[in-house]
Amino acid sequence: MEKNNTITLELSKKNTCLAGNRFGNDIFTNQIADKMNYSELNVIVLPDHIEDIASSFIEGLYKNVAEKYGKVEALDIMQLVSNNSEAQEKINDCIETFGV
Amino acid sequence: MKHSDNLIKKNRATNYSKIRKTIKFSNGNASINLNEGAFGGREVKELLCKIDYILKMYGNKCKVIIFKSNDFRPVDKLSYIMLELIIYNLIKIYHKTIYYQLNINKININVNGLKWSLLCKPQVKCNTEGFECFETDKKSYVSFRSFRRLILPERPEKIAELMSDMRSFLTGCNLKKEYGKKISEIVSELADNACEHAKCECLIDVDVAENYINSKGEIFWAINICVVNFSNVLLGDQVKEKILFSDKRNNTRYLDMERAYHIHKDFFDANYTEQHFFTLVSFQESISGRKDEINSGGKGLADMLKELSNHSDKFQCYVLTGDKVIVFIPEYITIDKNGYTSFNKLNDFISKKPDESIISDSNTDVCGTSYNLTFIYKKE
Repeated sequence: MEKNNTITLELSKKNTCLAGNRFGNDIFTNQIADKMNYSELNVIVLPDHIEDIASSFIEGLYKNVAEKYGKVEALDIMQLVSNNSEAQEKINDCIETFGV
Repeated sequence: MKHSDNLIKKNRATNYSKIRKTIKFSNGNASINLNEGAFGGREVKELLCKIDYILKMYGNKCKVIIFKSNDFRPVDKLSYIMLELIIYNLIKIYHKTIYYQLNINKININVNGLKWSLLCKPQVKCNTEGFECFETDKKSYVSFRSFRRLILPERPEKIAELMSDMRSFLTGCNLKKEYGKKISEIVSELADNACEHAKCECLIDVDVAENYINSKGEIFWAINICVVNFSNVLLGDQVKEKILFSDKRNNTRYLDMERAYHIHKDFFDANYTEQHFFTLVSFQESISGRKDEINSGGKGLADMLKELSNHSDKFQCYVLTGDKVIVFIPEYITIDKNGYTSFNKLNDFISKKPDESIISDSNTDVCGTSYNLTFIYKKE
């Protein structure tokens, strides 16, 4: 059975949306980078109060990994998930439409 | 708003003798008649020339400036926002007292936000509600169907807050949720672009008009959006740098843009310039101006175009960068066989010129980048 490395993000409850390339990159730098394990799938969990995510945020979040390993490989290294169905649907749409 | 005073400083008059006859000056008061009727880019430039004259000729002797029009009809949202910004700078930088006597006879659906603008107050000062939005990001100006906020580049998390708040605002206007989601994302993307690429603050202004009736008698919502920044870095500047002077690491899309440049160079003339070309390149999917990105980025502006192609009508949607204009006409926002937005009838971006109707020059140098957009959504 494949092991996953789960990283849960801590985000202000004031905002129900995530947007901005730089913000996405800041979140990666501050909350994800040091916890990444490149020998496993890293599952990044969004808090449930996040309802919507702009593609720019997802780009920024994946940027460092995509630039280093490639867009397709980045999705095998890091997976963004949410228990909020609206948010998960948006994540799936963004990645399917745009890749990272 | 930083550098907004460049509007006045960089749009100078060239013929003072002609302007002299149009200004009344007496006892420290200068009176300017705005154009009766349409107030658009040409009229903004005329006004700036008159202001230049007043500031040069009278300096501190001029204490008060009065704007008059018996029939004030801004042609779009950006036109009246520019007037507000001009007034703001006259008060803030040049320490003038400003009055206006603007008779607003008709408000079209695409200038609906005028109802809540500062121009409907007889006088404004720097602490007038709404003007504060030009000064600080700590206060939004939100009224019934109007939203205005300044976004600063130093705070990336504010883009997320903008998207969240915009979504709440649009929900409060009873706009269908899926439309509100799309608009709030587009607005946040444009703000993010301005802050990151132009490296400056930007002003967001959105208003919602309902009961727009199109030529078929169908009823729509109209969402009018302006995103304004004042920066020396224009749309297309960073992309130009990247395409012409950086290592593209064999990325097909950037190599395509380089190839397109060498073809389009032969098309450049007085009307279609290199700046127009790189502005169009900025809107291509998976093309980003960020120096350190080759494999990622370049989604936001392309996404905005897609939405416009499906949800706009007869209103002029455009971006002004410096003194160059790109008009977004749905029939030219088609995707060609290479996956690029063509901007022409032949549906080929790389090897064909953009259609003449989408490129032009502005009378006014907006000293940055300004979007004027109207999205139309059917009312259900």
